[in-house]
Amino acid sequence: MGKNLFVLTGKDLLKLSAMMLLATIFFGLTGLVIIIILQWFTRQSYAQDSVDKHGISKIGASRLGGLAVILCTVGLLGVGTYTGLVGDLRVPFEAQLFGWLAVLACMALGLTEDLYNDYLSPRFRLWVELIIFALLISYRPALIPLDLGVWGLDALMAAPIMGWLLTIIFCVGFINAVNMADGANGLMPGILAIAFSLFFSETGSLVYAALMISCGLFAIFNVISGRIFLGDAGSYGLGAALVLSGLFLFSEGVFSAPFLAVLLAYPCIDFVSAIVRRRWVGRAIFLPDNDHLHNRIHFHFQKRFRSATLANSLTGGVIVASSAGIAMLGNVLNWLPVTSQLWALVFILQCIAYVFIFYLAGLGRPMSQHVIDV
Amino acid sequence: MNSFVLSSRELSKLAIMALLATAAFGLSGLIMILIMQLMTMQSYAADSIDKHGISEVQSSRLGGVAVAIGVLVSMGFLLMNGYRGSNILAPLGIFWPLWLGAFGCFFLGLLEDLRNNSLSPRARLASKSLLLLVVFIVSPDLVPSSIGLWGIDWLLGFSWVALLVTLFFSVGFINAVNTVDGANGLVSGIFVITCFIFSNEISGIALQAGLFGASLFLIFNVISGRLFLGDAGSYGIGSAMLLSGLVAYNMGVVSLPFLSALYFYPCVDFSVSLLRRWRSGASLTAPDNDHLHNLINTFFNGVFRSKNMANSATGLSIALGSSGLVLFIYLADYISLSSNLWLWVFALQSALYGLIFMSIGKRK
Repeated sequence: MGKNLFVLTGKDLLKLSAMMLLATIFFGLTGLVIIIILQWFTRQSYAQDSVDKHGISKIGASRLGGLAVILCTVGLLGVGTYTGLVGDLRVPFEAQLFGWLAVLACMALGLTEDLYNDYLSPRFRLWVELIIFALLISYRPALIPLDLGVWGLDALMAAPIMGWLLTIIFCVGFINAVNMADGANGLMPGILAIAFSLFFSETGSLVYAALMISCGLFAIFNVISGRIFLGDAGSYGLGAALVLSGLFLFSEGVFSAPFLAVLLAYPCIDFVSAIVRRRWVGRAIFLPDNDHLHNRIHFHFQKRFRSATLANSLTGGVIVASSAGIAMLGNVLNWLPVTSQLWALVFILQCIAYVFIFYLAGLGRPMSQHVIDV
Repeated sequence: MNSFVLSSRELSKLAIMALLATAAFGLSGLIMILIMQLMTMQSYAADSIDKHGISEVQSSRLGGVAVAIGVLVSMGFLLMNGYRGSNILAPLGIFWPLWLGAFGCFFLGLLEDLRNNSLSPRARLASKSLLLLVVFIVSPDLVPSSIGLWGIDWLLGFSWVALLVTLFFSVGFINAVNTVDGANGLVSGIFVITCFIFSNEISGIALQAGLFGASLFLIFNVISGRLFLGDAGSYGIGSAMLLSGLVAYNMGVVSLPFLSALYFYPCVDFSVSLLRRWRSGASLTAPDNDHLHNLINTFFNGVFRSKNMANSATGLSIALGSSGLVLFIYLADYISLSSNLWLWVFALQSALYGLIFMSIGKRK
């Protein structure tokens, strides 16, 4: 790689400068180091993302963002441990090594797909995910949410096999939802950064601080440059970290289920919406399409902005602000305690807003935009 | 916006510079490195390849502007935070004639950087002399009335003689700094050491600001080799070194032998160049590529594959071997700054200069 030459426009260098400055302002020297690592990742020839794979991106990019985030997190944890910052062993991935192993297994599964596209069939990946979570939930049954506060569902979850099975299905569904929602710049990285920052603020755990820093920096890089995506490694690995953390913190009584629903509203609602939509039109529910809410919003933004990256990043930013951003804002402004069940009302509002905007954003959009050939 | 080809190596250099600057000076360091990177991308004031007989990459001559921006930003930051140093009358802190001298010379050089050969050497010499004359008339304390040498002290007793001698020496010194500016990190390295020692001793905020601007320029210059001081930088730095030296001498903080040892390389190399040209019958003011730094660079070119590394090794080795020796003795507290024992250090430096010049010159 040492002798390679590549054309870097003045605009690209300005973007790099902006990313370096923002990273240093928010996270100091650590932020700068991680931005440089991310820049290095975008220059690797392997794991290049095909242009327009998600129906939004229009520049060549790397899919190794997830790997970069995980490596940076591990690095930060290593530095934290070395400097004696790790102290609170109450939180999940410090005390529960098995949870980390599940996250790493999911990441490895996604990384294989990132490096060797279509090497693993969707069915195989699904089975491996099911096995990973089946083993984990068997080993840690405390992660099964028993007191969701939803009549009927609580009884179902209390049934030994049913609770185990539903938790596994939820976990696998969630990481696939994260994978599906990962397409617009900053969308999943933004949600991940907000989620981990809230987890950190409530638990004070270094592992969440490390994840917050890595995801925050990745979000800065992703939004400004548009040259690196989470990839399957990131969406599977970080999705697994998110869902397991959510289950753990719920079981510990740190957060209520409705608050977590508000926090993670977009991937969940969009996933359910995609399945319903595909079933409605009689298509295979696992066949990808370009008719998610973020595709619809992006369609309108790209007509208004000359820069493809700006339209892409604005799409992600708007969705993050109106989904996880609401939870963050509510928490910062003390609307409700994070353990309150009243967050369910906010979640209902989010669902209504999703449907409303989905309908409005679909107006004037040609049918040829909806489905891509696979 | 222009497109340009940047090798992966250069991007790595930018990353290293950004990391070093941020580690040393925080966010302001990073901002300055990015400003310097932006300067190297400008099409104006581009330095011709091999102008100084050493550099072999396309570069910008706006390094002096970068140092000036760094100094002003740092000064502004310090003043906004209410910091004025322990001595508010410190050189270049608020003493305006010194600012006039340093920035006057800087702008004179900047004119030359932006419009090459717009001023004849004679006009530049006259302008510098006039500027410094104004500074010395407004601040007569800067003109030494005694240097501890019998005979010369008698002459310096006549104020107009002292003024003329100081003026002659000062203009010569600024030209000497301009002459030795060619190897990466040479002049800026000497200036960093000067600012470090003087800011410790006099506590003027301008010297601390100079340390900030020059250190960042040094990082960029040594690693990338794409930004030179140019005439603006060498004139500005030369006058800043000169005026801060005169102030420190006037305050009794340093002795003349100390200043000779600190500014050894520009003074001696300039004198040797004049002597060499006079002996060979060449014009005294015509530039040549036979300075010690040219000879050392030829040596390092045989050692390193990278031209930039050879260039930077040349500049740093000379800066460290001359002013660096003074810094080492100062930090180790072997000799007091006001002692005349620095004469021995100067003698040692001169012996080393002669030895290296002859041994590498023979090999060449």
